[in-house]
Amino acid sequence: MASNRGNTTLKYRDVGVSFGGVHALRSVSFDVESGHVVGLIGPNGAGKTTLINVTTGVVAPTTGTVMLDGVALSGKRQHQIARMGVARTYQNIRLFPRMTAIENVIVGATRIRRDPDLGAFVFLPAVRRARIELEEHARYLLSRVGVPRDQWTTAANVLPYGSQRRLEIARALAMRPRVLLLDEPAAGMNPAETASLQALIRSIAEEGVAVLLVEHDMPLVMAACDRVAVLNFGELIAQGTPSEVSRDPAVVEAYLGSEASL
Amino acid sequence: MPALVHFYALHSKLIDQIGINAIFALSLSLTLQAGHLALANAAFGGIAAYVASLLSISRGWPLVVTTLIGAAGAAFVGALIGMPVTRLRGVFLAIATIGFGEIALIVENNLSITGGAEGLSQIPNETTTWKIYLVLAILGFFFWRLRLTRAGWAIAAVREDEHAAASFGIDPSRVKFWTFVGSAAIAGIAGSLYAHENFFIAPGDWGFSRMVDILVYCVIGGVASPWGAMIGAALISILPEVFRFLHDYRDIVNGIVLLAVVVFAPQGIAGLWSSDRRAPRLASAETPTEVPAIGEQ
Repeated sequence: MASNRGNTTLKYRDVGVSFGGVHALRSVSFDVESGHVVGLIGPNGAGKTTLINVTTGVVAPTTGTVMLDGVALSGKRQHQIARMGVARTYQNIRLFPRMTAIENVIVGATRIRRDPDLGAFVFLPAVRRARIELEEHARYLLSRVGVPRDQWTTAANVLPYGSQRRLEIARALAMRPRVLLLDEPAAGMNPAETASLQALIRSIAEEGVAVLLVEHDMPLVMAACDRVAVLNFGELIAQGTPSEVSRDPAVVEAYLGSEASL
Repeated sequence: MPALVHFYALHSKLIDQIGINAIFALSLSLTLQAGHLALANAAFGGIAAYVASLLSISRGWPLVVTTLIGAAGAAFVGALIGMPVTRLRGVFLAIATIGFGEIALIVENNLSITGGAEGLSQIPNETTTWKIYLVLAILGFFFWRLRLTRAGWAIAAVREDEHAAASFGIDPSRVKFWTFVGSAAIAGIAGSLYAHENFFIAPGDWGFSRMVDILVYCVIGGVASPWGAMIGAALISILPEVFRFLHDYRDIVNGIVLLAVVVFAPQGIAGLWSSDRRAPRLASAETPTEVPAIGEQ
């Protein structure tokens, strides 16, 4: 698999989170490697979003650690973890509402901006060129994720729902992330949209990004993921390839009910 | 031309007042742009006014030096209280900064060096119209370019969604701290200019009512817009003069205007422009031409 960003590994080791005696996560361990898409599935309340929040520094783990290429993320603050190259999208969309689509993507690129702050005050041509490059990159990302061109200068809060979801991904990609955490990106999408999302997720991984995909859409998880981890009541009950996991009786029992099959 | 000279001679005091109020409005707009409501700008203006005036009186230093020292003093005090206070959110930050303003008043009322409740008089009258508007032009330029820098983007992102900003590598507490300190410094410049305009300052000049005036400039202008803040300051400074014939009731006009803006144009005057007509932030929208080889513009 093509990898232009070296080998990044996100490791969860014995990660546990409890909120006042309620165990949201219990001793969760698995890896996400660059070039791979790892699906994280489980019923509502299983702790999937909590795991993303632990990774990004929103929630501190009660036990265990999250390591990015040997560096512990736990204890670092949200913006520090982001600067290390961990990008996320939000399940409940959190765009910058009154900024346009393209402006949202530019904020996403904060980590990789190199133009000196003082340059803008003295009209440094290099700063202007850097800004133009930044905007070109933002336009490229918007077309890549499929936000229609006529919506690029529309405020995020009045964009159609599907475009908002795509914009979330474009904004995260603008960071040139090493790790991308996608929190239910297919929510509310129709099958055609989901199919193009699947191709997008694969192409992101093939660029060498380690992708963690939290998703309820089973066909998408089965098609897009190299491996799948299954959470139930905060515990990792199975992990493996999509076909292994879908045959695991514990998964079928816990996640789908004993009647259903994948 | 003679008409203009005549107009200036008649209204020079008001023209100066508008400029100083606009600088105060800009100072508050910096924190508002980052989405937090800190209400200590009048107090910071007062601190700088006392520092600058005392230096002018005792040392006879020129306005530019005393104003810069005064503003630096205000920024320093801003940094001291900013460290704990900018961690607060929303109404708690507003209350804490109002509290700080009250403390500053009490101190100014009781120190002998500030002249107590009688204040300081015989401050050299060094502020002139061109100096005020030069400062305003420099600040206008600063705010205009600031939007284009990484810092400017970070400020806007924190205003829009603090949490999301943090997940893209922006440190919201750093943004809030530095906008608070910068806001204190700008308020300090306004305070010093005010002191050297009016010969005389007293603690009452920097009280809550002045803070409310500054807030009203920004609300009428459009909360997060520096241009709006300046327009709001001009409007609210002029209105009482225009409605002089109402005698004791003329301040009512300000209240009516504020009510009208909040009800009919909650985005303020700046919000009356539609979003695609606002100042362009994108380089490509600024000029349709290609990048010039040497320099910009």
